[in-house]
Amino acid sequence: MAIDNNKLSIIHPTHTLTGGVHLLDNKTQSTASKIERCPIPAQLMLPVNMHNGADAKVIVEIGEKVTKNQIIAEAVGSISANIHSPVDGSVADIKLMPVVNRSELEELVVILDVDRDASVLSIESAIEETIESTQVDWSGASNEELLASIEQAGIVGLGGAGFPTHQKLISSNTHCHTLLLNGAECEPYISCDDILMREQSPEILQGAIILAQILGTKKIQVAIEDNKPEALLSMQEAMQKAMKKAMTEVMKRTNTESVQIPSQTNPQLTFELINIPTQYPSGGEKQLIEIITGQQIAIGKYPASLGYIVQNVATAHAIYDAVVHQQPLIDRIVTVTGKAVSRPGNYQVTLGTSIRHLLDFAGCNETITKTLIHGGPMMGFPLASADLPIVKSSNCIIAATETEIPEAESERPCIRCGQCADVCPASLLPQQLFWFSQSGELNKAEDHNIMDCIECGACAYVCPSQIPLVDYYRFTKGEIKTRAAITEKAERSKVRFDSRNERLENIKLEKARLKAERSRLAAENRAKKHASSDATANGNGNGNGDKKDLVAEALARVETKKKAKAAAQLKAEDLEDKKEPDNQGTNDV
Amino acid sequence: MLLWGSQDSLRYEKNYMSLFIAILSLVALALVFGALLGFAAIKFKIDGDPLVDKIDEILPQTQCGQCGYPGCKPYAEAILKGDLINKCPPGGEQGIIALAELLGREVIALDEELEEKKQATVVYIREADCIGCTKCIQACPVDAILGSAKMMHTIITDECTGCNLCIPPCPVDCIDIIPLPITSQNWKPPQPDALIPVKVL
Repeated sequence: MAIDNNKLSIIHPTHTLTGGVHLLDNKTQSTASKIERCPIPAQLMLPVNMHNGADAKVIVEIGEKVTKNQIIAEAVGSISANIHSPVDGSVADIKLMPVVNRSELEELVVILDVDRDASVLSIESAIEETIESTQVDWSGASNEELLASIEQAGIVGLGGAGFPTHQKLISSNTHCHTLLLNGAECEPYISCDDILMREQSPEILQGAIILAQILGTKKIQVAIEDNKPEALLSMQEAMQKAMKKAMTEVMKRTNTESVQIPSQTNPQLTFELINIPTQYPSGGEKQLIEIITGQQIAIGKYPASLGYIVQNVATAHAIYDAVVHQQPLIDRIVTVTGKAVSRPGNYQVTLGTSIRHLLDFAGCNETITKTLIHGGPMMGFPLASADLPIVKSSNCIIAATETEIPEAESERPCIRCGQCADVCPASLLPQQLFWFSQSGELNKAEDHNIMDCIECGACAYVCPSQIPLVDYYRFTKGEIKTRAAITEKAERSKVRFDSRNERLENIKLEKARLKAERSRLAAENRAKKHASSDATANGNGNGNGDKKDLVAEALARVETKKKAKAAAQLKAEDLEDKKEPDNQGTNDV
Repeated sequence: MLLWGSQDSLRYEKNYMSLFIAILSLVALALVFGALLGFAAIKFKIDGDPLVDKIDEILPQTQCGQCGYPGCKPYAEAILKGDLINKCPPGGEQGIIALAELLGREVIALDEELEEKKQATVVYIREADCIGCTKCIQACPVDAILGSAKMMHTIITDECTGCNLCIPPCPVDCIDIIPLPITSQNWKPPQPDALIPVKVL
């Protein structure tokens, strides 16, 4: 079998995204320099919820010493992820404090005091460490072992959603033919995936091969937007190498007729590099698949329904670290950019580092910073403070000046121009949804599939009336979810109420039954006694006679007592009669 | 002519025959469908009025008894018998509208004697003050209080419907009404300022 692997051709898909907008990239500011490591601050703040799902449970105590890579909070349930200590140090505090989230609610955070010597050492040796650290040969590992190491490492989707990766792999395990690596990175400003692909493409690919083995997929596709030519070249090179290696493995096998099957590079694996046109939001899971296959994913379905599983390139890199270097997810690449930053770029940041520390390191001028955005300008959200920790889903921090992101103009009435409908990548009717949201018609909004809105913000971006459409949709989606939760709780309450009533009824019946039983037994006993006394009465005449005698005797006794009493009374009266004159006499004296 | 006449009589005879067949077949059909309907009536018999369940679905299942009935289902039955639809404060205006829509009645304001609950609440037992009398446990319609005699009691917040039925029986008054705590699970995005700012002309 001849494998043409000398040149990996780049595929340009013929399909296009439904809707979408063309935005100014603003990525070159942060891609000029290489990835730089941000020094570890004196304290790290690690929220127990850095992912989509249940809070992890803290398993350390205040004052406890922790070592690097030690689990400090354990995943609870299936949709949750472990949190590891990124450093040697000790637990300074465990408390509620504001973290990075849209709701600005306080969450439980583990605060670690960093052992300075150890951390300085770890920064200096960081680069050597990754090269020297023992590479684990995973070729013999079973899928379960690989999945377990991903779960153990606390890996979540690093593209921004933060869904626990092992859970995604388990849920789409059986029916996927293609692993699609998402390197689209369509949102302006963000360049962390771009720079990672440029610098560490072999590792990313290795991670993808591990993923493909777990999933049993035969094809790995990598999709990159055409505004990242360097990343494209780098990935192409890595993929060619991987294919060459696979072929030499095949050759070796046929030559030596070795029975050992090299699983590290599955010879049946095919690679495809797809260069997609730059358009927002091509990086959405469903949107990317639409561009590549021309097929849309049905409402309420996942990419697995078309045989696809989509993983972010940074997630693949984290999986490589977890499996090959046994290194949990303790840092990530964060793009720091914006006009207020003097050294914009991509930084390797330890999780839990405060954003202020990172901004200081990147040379941020706080006096001219107007807004601080977590995530991209389209889907991110403004931060209330810089004293919040970097978490697993922090892909970008934008410190924008006043001119860069001007204050939103006040909203004007909708003029029904329909531009929002043209750009909606989910083919929804943004205008209708807007009105339903304004008037609180949740049922109608739901009927118009508001839950399929991916909150990309393209509609709000093009709106000439400056209506923050996506905020309205978020609000309505929240209302719908709340309503569903209330209905669900009502259903549960009803079941509990009914079961309680049933229980009380049962108790009442049981009591009544016991009472009936008791009275029945008592009646029986009485009847038995009666029967026995009757029997004695009939069978024993003497006894009866004795009783009568006894009664007569008693009566006689009573009679004699009475007589005695009467006699005593008479005596006493006599005595009193005798005393009377005496008394009178004394009275007179 | 004779020939025609004979043919006519022949036709009539035929028609009688077909009429007979038609009647017979219709009778047969009627029997078959009658049997089918009879069978269905027995097989798919619905106990009680299905409308009660529909009304019950709209009611919030708080089981608070503010309507004067012991629970939501009894109130649903009462509504069907003609009671007013405005006696459920936890359901609020939305509940009344939904009931009116379902039953084809007029939307009316909530009973004046009752107060609509604007905010979701749950109760909270000040555990230091609890004497463990179990009276609140007996009052709770949804078994959302945990505890036993002479032991501290506590509320299972997730199951508490906010009916406040546990408050009157408490002899030491250690139960507080608190707004439902907002967590990342039940937080919802705020409503964008929908009002267009009125500029001073």
